[in-house]
Amino acid sequence: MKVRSAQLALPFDPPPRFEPADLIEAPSNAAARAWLERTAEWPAGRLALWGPAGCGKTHLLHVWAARQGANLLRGPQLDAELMPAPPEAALAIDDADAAPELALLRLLNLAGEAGQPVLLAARPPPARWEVRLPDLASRLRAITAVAIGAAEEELLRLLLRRLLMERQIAVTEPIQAFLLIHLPRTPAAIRLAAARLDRAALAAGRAVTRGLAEAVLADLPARDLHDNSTATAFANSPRDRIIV
Amino acid sequence: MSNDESPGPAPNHEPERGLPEQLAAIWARVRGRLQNEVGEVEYRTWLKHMTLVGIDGDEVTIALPSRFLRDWVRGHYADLIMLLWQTEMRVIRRAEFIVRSSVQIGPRADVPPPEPVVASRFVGLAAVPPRNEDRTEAPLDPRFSFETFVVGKPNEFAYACARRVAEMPASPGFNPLFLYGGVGLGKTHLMHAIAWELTDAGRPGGPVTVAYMSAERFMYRFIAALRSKSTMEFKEQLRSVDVLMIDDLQFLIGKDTTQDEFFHTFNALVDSGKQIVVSADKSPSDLSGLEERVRTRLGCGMVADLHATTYELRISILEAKAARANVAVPPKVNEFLAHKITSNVRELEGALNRLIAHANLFGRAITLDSAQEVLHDLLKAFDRRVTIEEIQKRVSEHYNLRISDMSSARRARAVARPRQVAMYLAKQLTSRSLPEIGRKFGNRDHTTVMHAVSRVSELMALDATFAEDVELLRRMLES
Repeated sequence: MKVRSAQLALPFDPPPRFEPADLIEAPSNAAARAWLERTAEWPAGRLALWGPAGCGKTHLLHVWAARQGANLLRGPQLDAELMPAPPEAALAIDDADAAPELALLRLLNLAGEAGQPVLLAARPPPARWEVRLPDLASRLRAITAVAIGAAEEELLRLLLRRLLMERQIAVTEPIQAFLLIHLPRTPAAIRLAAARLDRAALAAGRAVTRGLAEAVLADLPARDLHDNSTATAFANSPRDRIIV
Repeated sequence: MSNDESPGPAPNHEPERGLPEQLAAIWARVRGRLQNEVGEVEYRTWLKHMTLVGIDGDEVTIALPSRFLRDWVRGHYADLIMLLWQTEMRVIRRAEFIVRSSVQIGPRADVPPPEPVVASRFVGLAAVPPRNEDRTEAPLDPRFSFETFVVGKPNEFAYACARRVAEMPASPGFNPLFLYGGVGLGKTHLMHAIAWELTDAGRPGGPVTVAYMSAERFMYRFIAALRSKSTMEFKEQLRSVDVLMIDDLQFLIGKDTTQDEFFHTFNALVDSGKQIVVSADKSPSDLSGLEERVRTRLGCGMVADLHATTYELRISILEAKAARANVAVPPKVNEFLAHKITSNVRELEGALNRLIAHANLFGRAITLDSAQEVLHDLLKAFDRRVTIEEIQKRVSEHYNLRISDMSSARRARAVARPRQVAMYLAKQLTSRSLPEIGRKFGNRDHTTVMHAVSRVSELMALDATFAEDVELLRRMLES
């Protein structure tokens, strides 16, 4: 509890970086990357990426949007009342499962008529979104959905190292290894741990020691860090080398 | 029984108005009985435009104004027509149906013939620049033609009506054409097919102008016109077309101004004898939020619904689609899809598209296994979150152990090996850290879990039976 009570230090979370070069290429996202490179082959010009929190959906979305010159939208920001204009560019919609249903349906229809590709991203696959509008539900179930698989140990290791570097906190290799062994094996857990570690170090006014790392680990919420809904989607894929 | 003699004085292959009185009277009786047999609506829809060409020996020749109507009547009513003729003239053995588009229905006909479409007045869709801002047409999907529409019992009638309108727009009884049905059953496909046919440069009688719009696009265009104060232009543009088609009409309901505009246009076009085709998710009488007069007008032409697919139709659709894509899909995969994806055609085709695209992208053949893997998000309502406790329970059962053996200190191989398998599965199927997994197995160290994982991996590579066993456990846990 020491850590939490000392959290008066102003948190500084660096804005997430979505540069193509920062994408960690791993077997777990190989299928998604392959699909994103071949927009012309998407059935009906539509594709959906799905996978647990922090698995890289938004990152992939940004990389694709930049390459396609696509408009990047966030689902919750779509306006159900507004009648959208037929899109003149490709569309990338993040958190698409949180979009108002009618707005999403119209965008899909108009983009389809205008011949513009649409990329959706959400945690669950479109077939499992809670949708009441039958027209939208059937379109979503027809979309090619590509899962991002469970993160490999190597991916988690690289992710932790990059997040710590972005936050400019020095953490020794043994402490990083310690964290990786004890943290839940999900990107979400790694991200949360990096943020908590940053704050704890700032609040304590000292470098990250093993003791501090243990305190952060002990204080992590037990829930929400495990999302293995895709854990087995690619369990059988060959473990090729991970490229940074 | 053969008969070489012509039974009556009927001249061979003469138009109906030249028929002798006796034959004309027989024909009128046949038609009357036919009407009683099939009912008023069906008769008006398909049979009204039949003309008797004549009788030659044992063959009666009947003309229909289009190839499609000819095929339809021959396919659906030939036996009945034959039977009725035989009761009048026993000598008749065969009925021949021919196409005579220029045939004028004689003075006996109670309804005027459909107005022929005058080609010279119309401009084809192709004449409209594709990126013109002012166009009223939405681009048509080239995949949605009559040729690619797979016909079966559930959609046969709607298909026939659509073909009929495409061949003879604005014929009485077919205006407006109202196509309805649940989502993804082919309404838009038929709409596009009609529009393709009508705007085809090689169309008999020449192409006509078609404005095809989704309800969304209609709304968008109307609102844009309101903003730019160009509603008059918009109205004129719409009213200048020969055929107006609005897809998914239900989305206009509740938008009062847009809805009003649509119905003004609708009335103007119907009054000037233009064809309207509308699709919606419900029949006119079930569309709530419509004014009564509008409902009545929408339903006063031909209302045809697309029913849910049958297993046979789903198989036909899959086979046709695979053939068009030139892809070999094993029959087992088609059967699997037709059994699992029963909701509608869109989802069925979407699933097959996914399989084909996946096979192309990764260069793999389509198999039952790959279909289950690629479509697993669609086929399963959810992916199970497997817990370590479940894994321990399943593995213990499988190897006839007690659950307590999973956390006991016993090191006999009969206990230790299954325990290692459970640890391996816990690592594969959950995102728990290795120390946490160790704790659940009798407070073991995470290095013990690591050892178990690498030991099981090694054994799986060496021993196929063991690997199958572990794989079976994994599948059972996931399902």
